[in-house]
Amino acid sequence: MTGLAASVVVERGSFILDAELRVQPGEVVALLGPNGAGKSTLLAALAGLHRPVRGLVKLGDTVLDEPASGVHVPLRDRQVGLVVQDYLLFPRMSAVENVAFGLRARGVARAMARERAREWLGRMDVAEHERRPRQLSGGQAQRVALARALIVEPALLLLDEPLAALDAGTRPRVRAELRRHLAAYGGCTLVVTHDPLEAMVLGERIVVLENGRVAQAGTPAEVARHPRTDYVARLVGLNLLRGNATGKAARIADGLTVTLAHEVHGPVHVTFPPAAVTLSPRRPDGSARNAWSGTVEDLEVHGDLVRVSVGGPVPLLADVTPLAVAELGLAPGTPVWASVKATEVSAYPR
Amino acid sequence: MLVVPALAGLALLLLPMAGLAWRAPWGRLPGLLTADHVLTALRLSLTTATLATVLALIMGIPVAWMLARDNVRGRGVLRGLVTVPLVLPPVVGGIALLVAFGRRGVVGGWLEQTFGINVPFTTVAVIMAQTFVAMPFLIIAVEGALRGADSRYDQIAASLGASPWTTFRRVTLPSVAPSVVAGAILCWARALGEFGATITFAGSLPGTTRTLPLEAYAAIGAGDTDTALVLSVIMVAVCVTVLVALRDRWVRAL
Repeated sequence: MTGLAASVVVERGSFILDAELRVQPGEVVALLGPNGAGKSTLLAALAGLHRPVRGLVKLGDTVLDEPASGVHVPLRDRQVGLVVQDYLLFPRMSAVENVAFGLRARGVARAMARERAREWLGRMDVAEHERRPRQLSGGQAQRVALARALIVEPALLLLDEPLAALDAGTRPRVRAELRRHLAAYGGCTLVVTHDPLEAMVLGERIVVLENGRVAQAGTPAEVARHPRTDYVARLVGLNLLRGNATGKAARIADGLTVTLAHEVHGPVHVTFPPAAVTLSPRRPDGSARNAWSGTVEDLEVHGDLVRVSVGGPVPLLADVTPLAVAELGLAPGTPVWASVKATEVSAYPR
Repeated sequence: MLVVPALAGLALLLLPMAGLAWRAPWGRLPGLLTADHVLTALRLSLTTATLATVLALIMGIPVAWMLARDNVRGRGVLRGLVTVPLVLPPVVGGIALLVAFGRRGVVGGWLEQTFGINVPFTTVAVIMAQTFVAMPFLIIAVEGALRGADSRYDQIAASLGASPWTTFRRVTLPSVAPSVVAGAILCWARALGEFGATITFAGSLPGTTRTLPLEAYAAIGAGDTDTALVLSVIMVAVCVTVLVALRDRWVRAL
């Protein structure tokens, strides 16, 4: 079993998607990225709705797309299941009829198809078999959509923002259920999301797409610990700098260095959490401290803390207490010194 | 300043119908209604209008589907041509049908020589004239709905292995069903009232081609005002019923 191996270049007007993606059978990969990164374009390409101009898409031993040889398998013959944000259950069919649709389209007799559909709905804990889609809750509709896609045993399941249509109250429960159902499915699964938490909970691997390219890929822990782009760093709440390390110091800009706790060499990413940053009115003492001067740009309440954006040669975020904000008299335009202990700084090769 | 012309307009639209109701021989209504020639015309009208609507459904829905697709060439021109019968004087439609299907017409001549079939001045000609005039109503209503339908449902259906035909039959068509019903009712009402194309292409033969409107015209010609009034009242009643049933729906569908 080889799963999905896709390497596609898709042109949509002036936007160019150039991405490579692999999903093993039984694996759930989360495709994470900001709006306009090309997530939907990649999904549509895998579904056969956009034809790539270059590349190769293979699912198992079947070539689905190979522009060089003119191969393009239409959606109907791809064995690809779709679950979209608003689920798109057929509005004039009951839950059972929706789930049975794929089997009926394949020529399975009506009674048999309905029987199998009922089994699937049971597995998905949906008891409202005869209800029309508009009478189902968001969570139920999602499970019906999932059952409808899975009953025909697709080799690849594509989910486009499957939790976005739910209200915040039900989302955690539905997310946990979805994770359980996806774990039980033996095919390749790709979940598109812009929500990092969703990507971390659902994905065994995360692929970050930015500006039409894969910016980073890895397990949720790897991505969270070692972000490689500003977008990922912001998502996981880390400050990210880039520099060149020579031993226990990394040069991040002209005349600016970061003291590190461990020895590293070559181009590195340097990260530290906003909570590790101390703000003070004067340059702090202490050799193991990194200190940079800057100007407060913005303040934002973040739970019990205040997140301060500091501009200057080293732009960073600092989480401080409201008391500290008052004592330091922080406001946009206030000059401050930001310092971080070397032991709080993590550096890893770029 | 707007009230005076508005009142004049309303008077022009409503007074004739009020006049019909006023002058209708309500006392003789049961007797006139059950007269043989009236019943024959009524039966013929109901049959032909219904068959014309069925024909329009069978042919019009595929036409609407074709016009709603983006990848059909010359779609704009085709849509324009299809809607011509909406504004064309029905007499012209009748003449055009005669030229095409008449004994010496392009298709008619061939039909006569090959199969010995003669279309003009038969009940078939009535149905054809009605379909010609009424089908555009159905096409426009259904095309608008198909255009507004979410094509992502088609993608979902395709991903589940459904053929385009299965998708159209089980997903697309049910989703536009209200517009199909509205279009069909409108089409039926238009067919029922068809006059100009029918009298030109099918003539006014009692029992064969003399539908309700033609019967009313014949009655007026023969000086039988009461029968003409009764037939008119029937047709007004049908139209009002149809419009009330559809209310603002058909306007939206168009």
